Amino acid sequence: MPGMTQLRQEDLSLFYYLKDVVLRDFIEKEEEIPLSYMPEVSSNPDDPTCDKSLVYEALSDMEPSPTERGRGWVYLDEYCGFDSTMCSPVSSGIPEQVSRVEVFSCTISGTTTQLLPIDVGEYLVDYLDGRIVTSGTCEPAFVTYWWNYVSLVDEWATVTAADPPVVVINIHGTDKMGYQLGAGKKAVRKVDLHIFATDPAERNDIIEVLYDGLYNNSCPLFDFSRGTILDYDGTWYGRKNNMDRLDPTTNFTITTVSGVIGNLLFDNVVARNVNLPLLMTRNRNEVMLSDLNAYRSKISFDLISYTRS
Amino acid sequence: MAIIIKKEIKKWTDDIRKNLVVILMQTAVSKLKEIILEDYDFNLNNVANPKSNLAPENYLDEFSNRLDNFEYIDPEFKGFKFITPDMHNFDFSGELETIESILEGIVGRYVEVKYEDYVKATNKKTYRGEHKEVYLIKYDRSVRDWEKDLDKKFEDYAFSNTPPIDIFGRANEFVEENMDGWVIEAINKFKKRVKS
Repeated sequence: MPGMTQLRQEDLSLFYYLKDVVLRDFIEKEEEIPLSYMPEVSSNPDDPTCDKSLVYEALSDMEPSPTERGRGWVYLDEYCGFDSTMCSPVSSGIPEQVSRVEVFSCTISGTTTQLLPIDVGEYLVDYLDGRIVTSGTCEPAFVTYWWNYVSLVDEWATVTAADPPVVVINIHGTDKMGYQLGAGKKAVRKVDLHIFATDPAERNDIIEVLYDGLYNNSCPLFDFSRGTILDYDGTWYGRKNNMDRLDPTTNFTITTVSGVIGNLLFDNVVARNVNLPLLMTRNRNEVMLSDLNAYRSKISFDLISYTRS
Repeated sequence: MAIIIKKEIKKWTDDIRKNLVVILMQTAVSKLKEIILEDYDFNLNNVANPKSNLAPENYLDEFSNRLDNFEYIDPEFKGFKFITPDMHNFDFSGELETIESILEGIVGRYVEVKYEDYVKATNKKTYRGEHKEVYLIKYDRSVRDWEKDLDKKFEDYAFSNTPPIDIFGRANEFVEENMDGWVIEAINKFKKRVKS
């Protein structure tokens, strides 16, 4: 089977650039949320033949839900070295957060309840589903975490899987052409970002931030040869094999695609609001749309890359 | 002397511009409309129930009229500006708003609810009391309750949860690819006339 195509690499690079760099200020904090043990997905604690895996779920009643599609808990610290300007391979790798998710055990003495922080090496974090996984060495009771407020998805059909605000990435066209005499290729992708917000103010905020993140800007084109930052189960890449978060060998290392000159360039960035009338009239016919379509915007741009051969 | 030359150059450029307008209006615009209508037909027609008032087929004539009346050449612009229709500049007002919604993409599942069913289900009358009215309403719990009350299933709107559809893109590419050729043709026509 061939490796990942450049289109997928561009799609993923754009996705992580928007999520972890451009929208990194759109995060919210939930404090001391109770954790509930989930026996149905945990291993049997009395079975000595299998590794202990005790799963706890955060009982958040926040709206929109922090674990809806495209959201999830924040897995990077504020200054993690993941930046838009880098164009060369990241030698030291990207470390998993140590300050965005804090887990506490609870002790009750008399009438006072005390929360004691649990060491980060004692548990795994499932960033997608908002869960804590331990091997039974501690008893997590509460969690404080940061979560992504804007849901970022790359499929139109999943827009309705999350409450707004939602941003959808849609790469809908490709042109490839030569850019010099001899070898080399210029690839231009037509990209739309569709923004669905809950009110005009929120829509304008997101539009402004996304626009500024794209205009006159670029992002690295990563090869993702080792997969993405999160494993299929929502935990940090390879964390299950090494729980020591301070060990630099567990940092997520990623390289840029060889043969591509420079970064992925954003060009012809245009933003406009999409106003679908809530109540439309066609002669004597009236058509109503829901509020998800009420506060919409679209940013269109070209995503340009130059390949050597 | 300089003024005479300047006047002469202006006359030449006006001539070339006129030639270009003729070429564009005679050949380019008709081909451009053909491409857009082809894409309209390919992407929108035969998707919805043709009996539905909201089926795109019912709006094709009006869409075609608006394409005919579209201002392809900007009269205000000092040089020469050929405009191709797109989602920003095309007039979707009035009855074409339904088409605009489809082209922009619709999020969520919708059903078509006839006016009389709407009145029966909600006990509300709108100020438009015509039998032909159709409502496009998000399919949620309350609409499911209406279905139970009325003992009927509303028709799904064919363009529910449909991503944006680009029916202008191919026409724009056609103009971009051919514009240089049209300009050269206009200049050659001018050269021929001057020589003769």
